[in-house]
Amino acid sequence: MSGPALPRRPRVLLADDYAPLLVSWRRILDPSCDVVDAVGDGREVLAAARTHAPDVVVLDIAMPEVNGLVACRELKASYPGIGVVLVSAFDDAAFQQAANAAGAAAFVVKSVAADELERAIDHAFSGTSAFRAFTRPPR
Amino acid sequence: MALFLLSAAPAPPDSTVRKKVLAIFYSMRQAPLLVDVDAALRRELTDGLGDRLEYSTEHIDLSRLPDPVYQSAVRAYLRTKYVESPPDVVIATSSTIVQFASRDPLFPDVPLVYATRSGVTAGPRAAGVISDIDFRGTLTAALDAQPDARDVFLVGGSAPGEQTYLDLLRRQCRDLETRVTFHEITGLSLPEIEKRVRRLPAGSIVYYLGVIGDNSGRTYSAVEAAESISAASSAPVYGWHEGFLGHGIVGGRLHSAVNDVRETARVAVRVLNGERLEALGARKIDSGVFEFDARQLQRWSIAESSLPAGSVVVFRQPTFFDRYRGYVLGGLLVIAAQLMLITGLLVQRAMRRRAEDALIDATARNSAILRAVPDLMFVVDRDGRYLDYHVRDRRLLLVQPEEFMGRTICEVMPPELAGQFMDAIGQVAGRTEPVVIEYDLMLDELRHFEVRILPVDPFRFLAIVREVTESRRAMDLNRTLAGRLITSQEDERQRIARELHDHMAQRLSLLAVDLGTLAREDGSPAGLRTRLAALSSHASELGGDLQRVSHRLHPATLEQLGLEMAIDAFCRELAQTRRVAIDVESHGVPAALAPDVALCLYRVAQEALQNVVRHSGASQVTVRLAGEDGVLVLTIEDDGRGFDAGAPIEHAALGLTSMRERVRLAGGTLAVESRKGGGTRVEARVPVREARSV
Repeated sequence: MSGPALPRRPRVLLADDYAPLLVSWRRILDPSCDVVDAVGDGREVLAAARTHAPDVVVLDIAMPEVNGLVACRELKASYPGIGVVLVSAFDDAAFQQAANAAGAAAFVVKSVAADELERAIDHAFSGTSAFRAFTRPPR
Repeated sequence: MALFLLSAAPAPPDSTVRKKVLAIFYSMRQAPLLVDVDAALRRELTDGLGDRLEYSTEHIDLSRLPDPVYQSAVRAYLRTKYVESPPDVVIATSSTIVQFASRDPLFPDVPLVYATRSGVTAGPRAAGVISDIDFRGTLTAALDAQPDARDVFLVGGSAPGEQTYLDLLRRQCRDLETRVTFHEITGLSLPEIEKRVRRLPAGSIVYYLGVIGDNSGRTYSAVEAAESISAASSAPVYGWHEGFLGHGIVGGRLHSAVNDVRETARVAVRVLNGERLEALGARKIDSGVFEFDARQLQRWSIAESSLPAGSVVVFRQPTFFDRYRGYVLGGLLVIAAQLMLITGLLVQRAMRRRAEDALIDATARNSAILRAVPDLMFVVDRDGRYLDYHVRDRRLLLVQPEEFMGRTICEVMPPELAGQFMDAIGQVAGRTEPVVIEYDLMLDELRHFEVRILPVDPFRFLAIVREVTESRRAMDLNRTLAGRLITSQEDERQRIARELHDHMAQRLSLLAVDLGTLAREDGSPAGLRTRLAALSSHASELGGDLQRVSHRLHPATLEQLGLEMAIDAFCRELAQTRRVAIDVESHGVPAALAPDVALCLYRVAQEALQNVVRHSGASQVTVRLAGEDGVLVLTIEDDGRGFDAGAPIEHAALGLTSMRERVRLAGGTLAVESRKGGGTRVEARVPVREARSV
C-alpha cells in the first residue's frame, strides 16, 4: 500500500450482492488491508459492522432489500467515525451526489482499476470529511 | 300490299255521331273504391271521344249477384231500359261483370269491352285487357320487410266473389307454404276479426284481402274495414288493392283498378273509332305497382331500404327533421363526426349510400339522416314539458309517448336526472353551444347515455339523446388495452434492463477488475501488463455502455436513488446536452414511493421535457414535484411557443395520450394547458402510494 505510513492496516468490510466480485476485491485488498468480512446485502452489513467494528466499509449502492445508500446513512448514524466507500456500476453524477449526501467518504465506479479502489479505501480510512469520487477517466 | 293496308285501316271516325258507352260496375255507386275507377274511366273516354261521348253507368250489387233470380231480373231490367237507345259499347269493368254479361249476352249485338282476369273470358263479340292481381308480389314484399315472419294471417270476407281472391292467393303463393304458415281469418264479423288480429304472434304478417261481407250476411265497406282492422292489428297489415292504401295498410304490390279501366277505355275508344274486335283481341297488361304508406312504415319500423326496388312511398309526413332542421343539423354534425370516428369505414360507407339516396328525394334525405343517428329527440319548453319527439324505433323509448307528451321532465324522469336536465335547460338558454350531460341507467344492464341540449328559440329546447354504451365499452376496452400495453412494455423493459445490468454489466465489471489486477502483478513482462491494463479498460468501457443501455430502458436512478433524484439527474443531463435552463424544485415527496407511481411520474417528466426540448424552443423550464395531502403533483412549465391543446393531431404527436394513460393507470389526472405562443404547462396529479415495507 502506498502513501504515508499508517499505524495499522485498515479493517475493511465488503458488501456486494455479486459474489464473484467480492472474491476479486478480497484478492486485490488482501496485501494491504484486513478484510474482516464480505456480505451480500445492506441488512447484513449493519450486523457485520456491529460484530467486526471495521474502519472502512465498501458498499455497493445497488443491493436488494436495504440498498447501499440507506445502509451508509444508518452506518454513519451508528458509527460516525466509520469510513464508507460507495460503489456503483454507474459512472453518473447523480450517484456521486447521492453518495456524498449519504455521508460516504468516497465514490468508486465498480469497474475501476484496483489501485483506485485502494486509494478510495485509504481516503476513507484517513478520517477526512472531504468527499472524493474515483471514476474511470472519460474516453 | 298498299291496297291491303288501306282496306285494313279503320274508317275515319265520324266526328258528329254521339257514342253511347255503358259501363257496368260490380258494386254500389258510392263504394269508395269505385269512385276513382268511375272517374278515371270517364276521363279516359272523354280524352278519346271528346263531345261525342254519351256515358252512362250501371251498378250491380255484387253481394246478390249469384242469385239466378236476381241475375235474370237485372238482365231483363237492363235490356228493357236500353231497348230504345242501345249502347254502342258495353264496358265490363271487372271479371265478375264479364261473367254476368257474357254467359247470357246482355246485348248480343253490342261489342263488349272488358277488363278481366286470366281464366274468365268473354264471348266472341268482345275485346279488352287481361289484368291479373299479383297477390304473391305483396306477400314477397312483406317477407322482404319482415324476413323473420313465420305466420301469415289472411283476412278476407265471405261475400260472393271474395272466396275467389283467397283461392287465387293460395294458388299463387303455394311455394311459400314451406316458408310460412297461412292462417285464414274469413267469414267473421268485423269486431270478431279485430279481436283476432289484436293478439298475433310476434313478427306476424296480416294480409288483408278485403272484407265486404261476413257469414251472417252483414256487409261492410272494404276500405273502412281495412282501417279498423289495421288499427286493431298487432302486426303490419299488407294488401293488394290500391284503394286500401292510406287506410291502414302498409302497402304491397297494389293492383290498380284505375289503370285497368283506363286501358279498357282506350280499347273502347278504338272500337268506337271503327277498329275490329278481332284485331284488338285480349291484351294482357300489368297494373301492379309496389306502393307503401310512409306512416305505416314508420309505425312498424320498416326500413324503406327493405322495400322492393322502384317502390313508391306516399303519405310522407313533414318530419321532425323538417320542423327542427337547423337545430338538429348542428347537433347531428357533432354526433356524425363522433360516429365516424368510432365506427370508421362501415359508417362512412353507409352514410355515402344514404347520401346518394338523399340526392333522389329531399324528404327521403331528411329521414335517412335521422335514421342514421340512433337518437331520440325531444322538444321541451322552459318548464321541461315535452312538446314534440322523434324516435327512430319506438322500442328505444323507455316511456311511451302517451305517458310523457304534455307532461314535464320532472314528472317523467328520476328526480336526480330530471334535476340535471332542468339545470342544463337553464344553462343553455340564450347560448348557442349545446350542454352535454352523460348519464347511466340501470336497465337490463348498466347502459350509458348522452344527451345534448340546445335552444330552438327562447321558449323551446331540443334534447338529442344517444345511447353510448357500445362506444363507452369500446373506449374502456381501448383504455384497458392501452394500460396493459404500457404496463407490459415497462415490465419488459425493466426485465431486459435488469438482465443487462445483473448478468452482462456486472460480469464485465468483474472482468475489468480481474484484468486490472493481473496488469499490476509483479513479475509479468511490462508489455503484457500494458496490454492487460488496456483490456481492463476496454472491458470497463463495455460495461459502462451496457449500463447506459440498461438505464435508458429502465432508469436505475429511479430504483436506487428515488424519484426526486432521478428527475433531478434526468433534468441535469438534458440541460447539459440540449442547452436549456431547467429549474427543479421539490418538496414533500415521500421517501419510499410505490415503484409504479414513481415510474409514472418519471416517464411523464421525461416525455414532457423531451417535448419541450424537441418542439417548444423554450429557454427556461421549471419542473416542480410537490407532495401535499396525499397527492403528488408534478408540473412542467416552459416559456416556449406552445401548441393548440385542442387539436387531436398535436396530442398524438406529443405523446399526450400515452402520458394521460400512464397517469390514469396510477389513478391520477393529467392537465395540459397550452396555446400558440404562450408556453405549455403539463400537470400530473397522482395519489401517493408508498412502497410496501420490506
